[in-house]
Amino acid sequence: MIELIKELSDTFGPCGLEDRVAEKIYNKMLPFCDKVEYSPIGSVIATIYGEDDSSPVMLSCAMDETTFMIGDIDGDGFLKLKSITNHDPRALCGRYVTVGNENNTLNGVMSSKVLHLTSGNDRSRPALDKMFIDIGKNNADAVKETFDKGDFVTFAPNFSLFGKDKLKGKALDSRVNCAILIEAARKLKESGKKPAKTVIFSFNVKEKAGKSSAFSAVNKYKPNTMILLSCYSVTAVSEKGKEKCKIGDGVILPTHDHSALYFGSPLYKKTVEAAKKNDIKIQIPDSVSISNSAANSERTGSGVSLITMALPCLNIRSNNEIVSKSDIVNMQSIVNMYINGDI
Amino acid sequence: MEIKNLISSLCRIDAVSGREHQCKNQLDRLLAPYYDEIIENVGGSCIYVKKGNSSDNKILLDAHLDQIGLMVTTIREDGLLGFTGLGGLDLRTLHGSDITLHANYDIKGVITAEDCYNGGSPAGLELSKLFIYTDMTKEELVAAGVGIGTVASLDCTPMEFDNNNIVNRSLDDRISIAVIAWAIEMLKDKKLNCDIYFVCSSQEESYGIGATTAANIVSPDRAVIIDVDFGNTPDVDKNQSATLGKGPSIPLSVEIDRKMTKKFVTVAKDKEIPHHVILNPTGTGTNASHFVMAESGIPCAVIGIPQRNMHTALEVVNIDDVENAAKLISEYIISEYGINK
Repeated sequence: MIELIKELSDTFGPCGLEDRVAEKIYNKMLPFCDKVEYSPIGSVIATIYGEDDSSPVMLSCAMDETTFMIGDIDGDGFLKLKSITNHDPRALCGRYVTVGNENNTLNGVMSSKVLHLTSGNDRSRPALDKMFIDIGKNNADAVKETFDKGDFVTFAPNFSLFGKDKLKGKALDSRVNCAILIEAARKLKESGKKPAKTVIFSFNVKEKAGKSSAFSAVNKYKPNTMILLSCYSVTAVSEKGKEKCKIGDGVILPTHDHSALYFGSPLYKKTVEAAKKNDIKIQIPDSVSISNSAANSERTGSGVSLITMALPCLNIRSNNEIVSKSDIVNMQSIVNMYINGDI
Repeated sequence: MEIKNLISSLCRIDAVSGREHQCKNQLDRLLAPYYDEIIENVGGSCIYVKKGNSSDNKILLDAHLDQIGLMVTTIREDGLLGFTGLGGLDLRTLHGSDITLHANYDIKGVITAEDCYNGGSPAGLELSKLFIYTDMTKEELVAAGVGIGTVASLDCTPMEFDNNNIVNRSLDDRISIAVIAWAIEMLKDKKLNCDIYFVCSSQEESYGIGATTAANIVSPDRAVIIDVDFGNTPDVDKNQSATLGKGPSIPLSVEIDRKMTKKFVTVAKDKEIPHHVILNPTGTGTNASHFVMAESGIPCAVIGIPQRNMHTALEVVNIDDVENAAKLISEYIISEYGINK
C-alpha cells in the first residue's frame, strides 16, 4: 500500500492534465472491476456490480494536485507562472518543481528575487507573480523546444516515510484517497464475493480548480449515495483552547463545510455510529472553512445522499504534505464497511 | 580535476555559522591535496598554507566555511520546536521544507506553520510563527539531546541541469572553497614567488570573526575574497548582477583596492576569461569589509560566483563560472607575484 501511495503521489498529474495518473489508476483497477472506463473529460470510472443494481453507491476522490500554469517565458529562459489551484504562498520559492505537458516532463527549481535585494511585502508576503521557474535553459527558444505557455507546473516527486508513522510527499492530497479506493477494490475482488449494492468508483479530474468531474459522474451514473474522500488541512501549531482536528486523531467527518450540509444525510449518522461501534477513530470538527467542489453533486438530478470524509493533512498545498498511517487505516476500514454493506 | 565530486563533498559538510569547528577534521582531509601546512588557531577558521618559492610575499584567498542554518530556541509541550536563524534565513522558503537537526544523532524535521486556510488569508511571514515538526514528543526530543542551542541545517537533494548549472545547498560559500582548490591545482607546477594562504573562514554569515582573526594571524599583503554574487533573475539591476555561465563577477566598491581590482580586469581581458564588472557602491556584503579594517588595513579584491536562490536550500551556480574564476585567480597570482623559471 505504501508503494502504491508513493507511485501515485510521485506521478505528474496536474489539475487539467491528469492523464498519467488516470492511466495508472485505470490499469490498476482493471483486474478488480467488472467495468473500467474513461469519461469524455479524462476521469476514471470503475464499476463492481452488486446483487442490487438499482441504487449504486459511489465512492469518489480526486486525481489532481497543486498546479500552476506557465505564463510568459522570458529571454533568459525563465518561466513565469499563473495560478490554477489554490496554493500556499508561504511554500513557493526554493523548491523543486516538475514542468510538463502531454509529451515531456522536466524538473526545475522555483526561484524568486534574491533575499538581499527584497524588502517589505516581497519578503514577508511572497506572491506568485514574483516567482519564476528555472529549468536550466539559457533562452526562450531552448525552452520552447519542449515546453510552452499553457503547460503545467507541479512540485517535484519526493515521497518519503517520516517520523513514527507519517507519510510525506507532494500530492498526498488526494493520491492517498485514490490508493485507499484501489485497495478497497482489490480486497473486494480477493474476497470473491459480490457487494450487496453496485459500487462505482469515480477518480476525478479538475477538482482543485473547483470544477470536479465528480459532478458529471453523478449526472451520468445517478448513484443513490455518494461518499467523497479527500484531505483536510490541519496544523500541528495549535494554541491551547483553540484545538481543532489533529493529525493522527482519526478520519474527519465534518457536519458541514462551505459547500454542503452533510449531517442531513442518513448516511452521516450511520457512519458515525458504525465508526464508534467498531473502534474506528473519527474526529468531528466544529467548523470547516473550505468548499469542496465535488459536493455540488448534491444538486444533480433529484439529489444524492452525500457525505464527505477526510484525512487530516499537515502543510497542505506545499511540496511536503504529511498524513498519518493510522488515519489511513481508519479511513480504509470505513470504506470497506460501505462496500460490504455494513453501513 | 574532479570538481563536481569536490563540490558535492563540500556541500555535504554541516558547518552552521558558529559551529564550524565540528567539521575541521573532515575539511582537513578533503582539502589535503591543496596545502602543505595547517595553521591551527582558535579563531574558528581553517587556515592552510601552500608554500611557494618565497615566503616574503603572502596572498590570502578567502572563502567562508559557514552556512546559514537554524538554532532551536524553544521546545513546546507538544514537541514543536521554535527556532531562530543563524545568518539570514529566507523565510519565503521555509514552510514545508526539510531540515536536519544535529543533536546526539541527526533527526529529520519539516518546517510547519499555522493552517492558512481555516482562518482567513495567510498573514505575513514571521519567524515566530514557523516551527520544526519531527513527529517526536518533547520527552523523546530531550532524550535525543535536542535543547535550546541545537542547530539544524537545510536539506537538499543535489541536481544538475544540461546547461552546466548545478543545484545544491551551501554553494554559498562552499563553491568558493572549490574555486580556491582549483586555482591552487592550476598553479601546482609553477614555482610561485609567494605563499598562498587558503582560508576557510568562520562566521561570515554572522559576525565576521573568522576573517578578522585569520587576517591577524596571517598578516598577508593582499587578500582575494571569493564569495557568491547575485545571479541574473528577471527583476534585478544588471549593474548589480552577473549572468550564470558568462563568467565570475569583479565588483567595484568603496571597500576594495582599485589598483588590485583593475589588475584582475586587465588579466581577465588579456587571458580572454569571461567576466562581469559590476557595481556594489557601498560594500560587497562579503568578508572584504573585515579584511579592509584588519591589521593595518589589507588591500583586497572580491571575485563573485554568480548564484541564484542565495540563502535557500536550492542554490544554483554554473560550473563554467567556477572554472573561469579559478583561472582568473591563478593568472592574477602569476601576474602579480611572478614565477621562478
